[in-house]
Amino acid sequence: MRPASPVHPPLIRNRPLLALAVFLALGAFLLPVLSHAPNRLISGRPVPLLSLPATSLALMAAPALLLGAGAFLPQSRRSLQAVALAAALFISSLLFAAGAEASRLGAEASAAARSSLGSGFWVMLLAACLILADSLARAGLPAPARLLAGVAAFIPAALMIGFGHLDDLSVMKEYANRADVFRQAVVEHLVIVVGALVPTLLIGVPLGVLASRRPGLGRRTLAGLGVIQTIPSIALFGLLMAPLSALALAVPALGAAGIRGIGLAPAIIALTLYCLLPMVRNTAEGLARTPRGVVQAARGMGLTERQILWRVRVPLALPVFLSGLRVTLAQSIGLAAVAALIGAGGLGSIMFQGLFANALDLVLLGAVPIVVMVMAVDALFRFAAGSLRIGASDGATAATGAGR
Amino acid sequence: MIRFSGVSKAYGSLSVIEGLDLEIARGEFCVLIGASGSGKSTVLKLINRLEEHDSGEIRFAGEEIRSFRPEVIRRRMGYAIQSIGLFPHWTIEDNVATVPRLLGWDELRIGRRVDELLALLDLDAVRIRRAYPHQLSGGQQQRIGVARALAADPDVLLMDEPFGALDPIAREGLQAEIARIHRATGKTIVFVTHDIDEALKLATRIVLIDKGRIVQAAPPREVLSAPANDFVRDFLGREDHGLKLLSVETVAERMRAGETAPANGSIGAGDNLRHALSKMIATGAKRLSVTGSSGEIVGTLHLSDIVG
Repeated sequence: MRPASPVHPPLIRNRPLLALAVFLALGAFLLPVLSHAPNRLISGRPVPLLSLPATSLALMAAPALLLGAGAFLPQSRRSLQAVALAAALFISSLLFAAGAEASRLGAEASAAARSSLGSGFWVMLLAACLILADSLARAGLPAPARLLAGVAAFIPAALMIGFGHLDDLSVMKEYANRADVFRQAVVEHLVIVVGALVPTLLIGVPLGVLASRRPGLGRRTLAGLGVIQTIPSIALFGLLMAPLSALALAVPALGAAGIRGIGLAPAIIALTLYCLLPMVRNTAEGLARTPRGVVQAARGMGLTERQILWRVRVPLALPVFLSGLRVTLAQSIGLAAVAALIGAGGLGSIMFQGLFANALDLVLLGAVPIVVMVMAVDALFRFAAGSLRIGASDGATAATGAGR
Repeated sequence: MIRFSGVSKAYGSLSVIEGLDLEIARGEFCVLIGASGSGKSTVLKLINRLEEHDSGEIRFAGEEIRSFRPEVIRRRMGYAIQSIGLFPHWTIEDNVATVPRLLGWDELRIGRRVDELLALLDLDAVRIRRAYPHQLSGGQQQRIGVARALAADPDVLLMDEPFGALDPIAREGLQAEIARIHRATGKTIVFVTHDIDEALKLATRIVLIDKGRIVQAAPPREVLSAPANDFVRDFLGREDHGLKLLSVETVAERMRAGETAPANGSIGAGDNLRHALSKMIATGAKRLSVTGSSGEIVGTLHLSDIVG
């Protein structure tokens, strides 16, 4: 059904890139890049992109044009790398222009005035980030280089924050007003996450080992943990409040140690319950995927059961185990935000404060660090698993493939 | 070397081995053969205690095998299996060095031994030492499996259908290799298979097992010329029984020595008669010149020498 071999190469060489570039352009021209209000209680006046100074527009237009052109270029490694670079430059220039415009508007207005990031900004940022991720993934870079490139793309953003160029954006104003609260919230957030990680590992790993040895028990354990996953987090926090309060009343020593119906204790218990599923499942799956012949040969050559575990099963399970740990951490960083509702603190408390006060910038101040943390954990663990892949996982799949 | 006396083994109420008596002498190439479920693999696994016998006695080098810790006895016996079981996350070098490392050899000696073994198995050491198993073909992987089994120079080599999953060409190559290794090293080999041609080709003694009992234990030629009963005859395959008989006899045994007038075709003195007959049928020749190891004519083989 295909037409005879085309004489001309196709005009559009990268359809996803073209679609994202169009999406970016729509956001740029139809939606406001900023929203400016005389104070934070009044909803703002939209600031269209085209009302920005010509220098800012020129700064953004150069990389944007390159992004658009990228869809029509031959898809070589080099052109994909150029597109990734253009996307990174666009993100930086977008932030720079937004910061500059906020300063310009701020200088004309009172101190209470707020310039917040508009929907157009978010659409452009999202499109540019997707283009960056997609072109980096397809540019044929080795995993470490890809990770480094991804990090490097956001160095200008970090510098702009560090040197105060974005200080007149409302998010940063909220940050300046609450730097202490913010820092404390980050610490609290990490305490919740690590606090849940420790029992998850202590319970989940042995359960996973057990599940890999006794598949019947494993199936029932995973089914039980799966049911917990279906309970909405707020409901689970609520369910834990009553028994923990009763416990604290019955045993005052526990209450004194911080075991109460609200606060850190129910948050950590609930997160642990959620995190057990990926932990147990990936531990069991990782251990179970050692091919039977490998274990039989190992035993036949005189490796002890302990040696088989540490030299064969554990190294072969490690990539799957790490991916379980990645899911666990990402999930608990996200869920820990909800724990603010039962008084456990963390970045969620800033987010919810913003939600209840209808202050979008406060919500962002809580949410953006969570997103950054999840992305950092994700990248770090993918990198670690990727560097383990060389012998282990390819070999394991090859071996099981041959067995079938 | 290995002696079973009155050994029985059951899984629950299901008896797999019953009152087995068998002595495997030093230097023997003993092939255990039987249908699937006959208990042949279990007999092999009893030797290195991957399975424990319920009653009777198994002695290895004169001592009851239960007087050793299982790991100790296993490290003294090479072990190769059908699924090969190379460690996918270790290089070829590390795989081969498994048992020497367990035994605490120094690295210099291990390195020399690995080179020696890769050369013995006809593998290019320089190219594959640092490769991972999945980068090798199935035949190469099993060569590594055999090298690994031989690594610590064990007293006994246990092989459980080692070539069962290989393609015919790789299988024949490895069969020739293991026969050569047996001749060169004089190792005691206990080899499980369900392939009668493989057994006839390799064994110095065939042990035919059915329902956990030994039906016949004899050198290949005796099994073929004097099958103990109908079961053995069926197992040998009635249709090409005659051809199998030919396959265990060499040309040198039937040729007319000293008759050196050249014929239309030639055959090696060490080749088997089945090969010679096949060549006669294919070329239409009624006699073949027999050549010695250096290619000189040492005699002549007539069709009537084979059939007569």
